Amino acid sequence: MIQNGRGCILLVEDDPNDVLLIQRAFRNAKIINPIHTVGDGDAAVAYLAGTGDYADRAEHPLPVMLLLDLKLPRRSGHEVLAWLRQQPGIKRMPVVILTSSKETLDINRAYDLGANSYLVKPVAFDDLMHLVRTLDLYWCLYNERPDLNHGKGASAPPP
Amino acid sequence: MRAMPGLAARIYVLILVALLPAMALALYTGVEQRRWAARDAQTDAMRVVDLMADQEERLIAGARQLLEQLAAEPAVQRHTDAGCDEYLAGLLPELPSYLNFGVLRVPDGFITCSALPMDRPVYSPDRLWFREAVRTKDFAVGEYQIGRITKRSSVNFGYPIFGPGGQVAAVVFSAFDISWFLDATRAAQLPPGSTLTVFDHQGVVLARHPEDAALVGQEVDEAPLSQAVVGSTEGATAEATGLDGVRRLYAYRPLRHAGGGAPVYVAVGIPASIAYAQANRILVRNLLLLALVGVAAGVLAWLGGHLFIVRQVQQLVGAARRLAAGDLDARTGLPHTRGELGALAASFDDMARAVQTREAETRAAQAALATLNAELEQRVADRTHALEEVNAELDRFAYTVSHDLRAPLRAMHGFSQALVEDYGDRLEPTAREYATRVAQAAQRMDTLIQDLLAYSRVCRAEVEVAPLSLAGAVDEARTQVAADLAARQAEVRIHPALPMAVGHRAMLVQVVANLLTNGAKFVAPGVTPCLEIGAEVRNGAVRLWVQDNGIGIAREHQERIFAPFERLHSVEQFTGTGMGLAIVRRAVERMGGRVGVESEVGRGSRFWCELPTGEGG
Repeated sequence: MIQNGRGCILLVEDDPNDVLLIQRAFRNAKIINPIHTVGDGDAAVAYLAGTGDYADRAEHPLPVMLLLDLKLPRRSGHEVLAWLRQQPGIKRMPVVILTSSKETLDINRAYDLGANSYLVKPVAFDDLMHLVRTLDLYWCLYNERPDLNHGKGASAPPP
Repeated sequence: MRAMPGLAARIYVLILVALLPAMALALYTGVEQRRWAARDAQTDAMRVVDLMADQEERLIAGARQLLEQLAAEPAVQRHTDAGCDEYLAGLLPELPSYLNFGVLRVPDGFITCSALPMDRPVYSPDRLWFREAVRTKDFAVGEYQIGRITKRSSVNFGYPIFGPGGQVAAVVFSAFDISWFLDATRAAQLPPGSTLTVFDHQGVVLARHPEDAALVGQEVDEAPLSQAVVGSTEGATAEATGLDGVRRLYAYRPLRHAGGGAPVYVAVGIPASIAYAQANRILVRNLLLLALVGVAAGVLAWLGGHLFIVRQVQQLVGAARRLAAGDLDARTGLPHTRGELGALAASFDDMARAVQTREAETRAAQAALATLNAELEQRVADRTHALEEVNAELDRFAYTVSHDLRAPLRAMHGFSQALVEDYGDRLEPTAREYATRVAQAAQRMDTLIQDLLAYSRVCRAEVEVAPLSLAGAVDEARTQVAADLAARQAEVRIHPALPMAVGHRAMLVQVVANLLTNGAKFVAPGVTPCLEIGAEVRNGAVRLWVQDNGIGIAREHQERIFAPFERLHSVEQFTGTGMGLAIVRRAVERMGGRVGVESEVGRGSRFWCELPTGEGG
C-alpha cells in the first residue's frame, strides 16, 4: 500500500512527548516513510536549506512533506513557513500545520502564508493515529509531488 | 456711504418744503405790491386827469373873461378892417397859450378878422361854438378840433358881438392850444415814458404828450385802449398796450366842460415797467433773499446734517458693517446723548457689547467643551488602550492555554493509552482501569479547555452581522454535530422555509450546533431524542427555536443554565462542561439578539434565540 518508501517526512516539533506520540502513531499506523525531527524553527530552516549540521543530503534528505508546529523556540512555525515560501524550488513543498491551537488568527495566518493544510492535534491517541494515517495516505500516496529542484539554480536570488 | 446721499437729499427736500411758504408769501407779496403799484400809478394818472379837468374849468373861465373883454374892444367890434387883425395879432405874444384869435361874420361864418394871416378866405359856420354863440347870444365852448387856420389841435371859444340893433353881428373866438394845455401836466411829474392822450368822441387823437405828430389826427379806434376810453362816462383805469406798443397803466375820464357838446377823453398812461419797477425790484430782491436763505439753509443743513446726522449715521452704519464682518470690537464711537441718534448709538453699542460678551462666552464654552472633549478622548483612548492591552493579554493567555495547557493533556492521554495498549497484558485489571481513568480525565480536561476557549472566542471576536439564511446555518450546524446526533440516534425535524435573519454566520452555526447537542443529550434513559427546529417572525425579530423531548428544566433553574460552568446534573448522569448554553447566550447577545427557554420538567424544553430580521430597523 505504501509505495513511496524513499520520501521522508520532516517533523518540526519541540515537545518531546508529542514527538514520541506522533512517532508511535506513525509506527502503529504502519507508515514506513522515515521521519526526521527537528526541535526548533532555526533547525528547521537549516535542515531545509541544507546548511550547518544538515549539509549532508544523504543523511538529511529533502522531505516530501513538512509537518510543522506553530509554537516553536527561536523561530515560530509561521516564520519558518514564510521563509520556505520564499525559497526557490523548495517553496513548492507541501506544508501541513499540526498544532494545538484552534485560534482563528493562527489558522488564517497559516493559510495566508501558504500552508497546504491545518490540523489540530487531537488529545485521544486513537484520533492521532487515525489522523496520521489519513495524512500519509493523502499527502504521500495520492498527492502528486512537485519537483523541488527544478528552477532552483536559475531563479535563485543572489545570496 | 450709499445711504448717505439719500439722507442728505431728504434733508434738502425738507428745507425746500420749509421754504415753500416763504416763497409763496414772497410771490404773493410781489403780486400784491404790483397791484398796489398799479393802483398807485393809476391814482397818479387819475390825479393828472383830475388836474386837467380842473385846469379846463379855469381855462374856460379865463377864456370867457378874455372874450368878453375882446368883444368890448372897439377894434374888434369894427372887425372888418385891418386894425382888428393888428390888434388881435398883437395879443398873441402876450397870450402864448392861445393859437389864434379872430372874428366870424354872422350869419355866413366868414372870418373877417384873424390874428394869424389867412392865405385864403375861410368860412366856419359849422363850428359848434359859432352856432351856439349865435343861438344863445352868449359865451360858447367849441369842440376840441384841428384848427383850419392853425392846423393844430385846439379848443375854441366863441362870444357874440352885438350889432347896434342888439342882434348878433359877429362872433369873436379864441383858439386855445391844447398842447400847451398838455404841457401843463408836466407839473404833475409823471414818470418818464408816461403818455397823455386826448381823444375826441370818435377816437381821433387830438393831442398827445409827448408830442407825436404822426399820431395826431389819426383814428386809432381800432386800438383796444381807445375802444375802452371812448364812450366811458366816468373815470376808470385799465392796463393796456398803448398806441406806440408800450404796455401802460392807464387812467382816463371824459372831459365834459360847461360848454356841452361831444366829450373828449383824456388818458394818462404810465409804463407798466416803471409802475411795476419797484414791486418787481422788491419781488426780485425777496426772491433773491429767499434763494440766499435757501442756499444758506442748504449749506447749514449740509454742515449741520453732516455734523449731527449723516456723520453719526455713517458711523453707525460703519460700526454695523464692521460688526457684521465679524469685528466684535466695533463700536459707534458716538456720545450716548439724549437724542434719537444717541439712543440708537447707545442701543447699538449695548447690542455690540452683548454680542461680544455672548461670543466670548460661546468661545469660552467651546474651549471648555473642546478641552473636555480632548480629556474625554484621552480618557477613552487610555481606556481603549488599557482594554486593548487586556485583550492582548487575554489573547496571549488563550494562546498559551490553547498550546501549552493542552500539550501535557495529550501526553497524559497518549501515554496512559499507550501503557494500556502496549503493556495491558502485564497489568492487573485495577491498574488498567486507573490508566483508563487517567486518559478519560485528560480527555475531559481537554474538552473543558476547548469549551473555555470557544467561550472566550465568542466573547472577544469581532462580530460583523449581515443578512443570512437560517436554513443554511441550521443545515451546517446539523452537519457539524451529525456524528454526535447519530451516536445518540437522535431524530431531527427541520421546518421548511426558515426566514432570513441578521447575524454572524459562524456564531449562529455554533449556537444551533450547541442547541442540537444540548437537546439530544438531556433525555431520560431509554428515550430516543426527538428534535424539532422552527422559526417565526414576531415583533420585528426572528425567533429560532429548538424543541426537544428531554427531561425539561424546572422554572427556578431556567435562568441559571445559561451561566458558564452551570450544571444541573452530575457528570455521571450527563457528560459536559456546562459551557454549551453559556456560549449560546453570549454568541446571540454579541449578534444583538436574546435567548430564552420555555420548559416544564418532564415535558421537554424549547430553547429559542431571537435575531433581528434586518427589515425596518
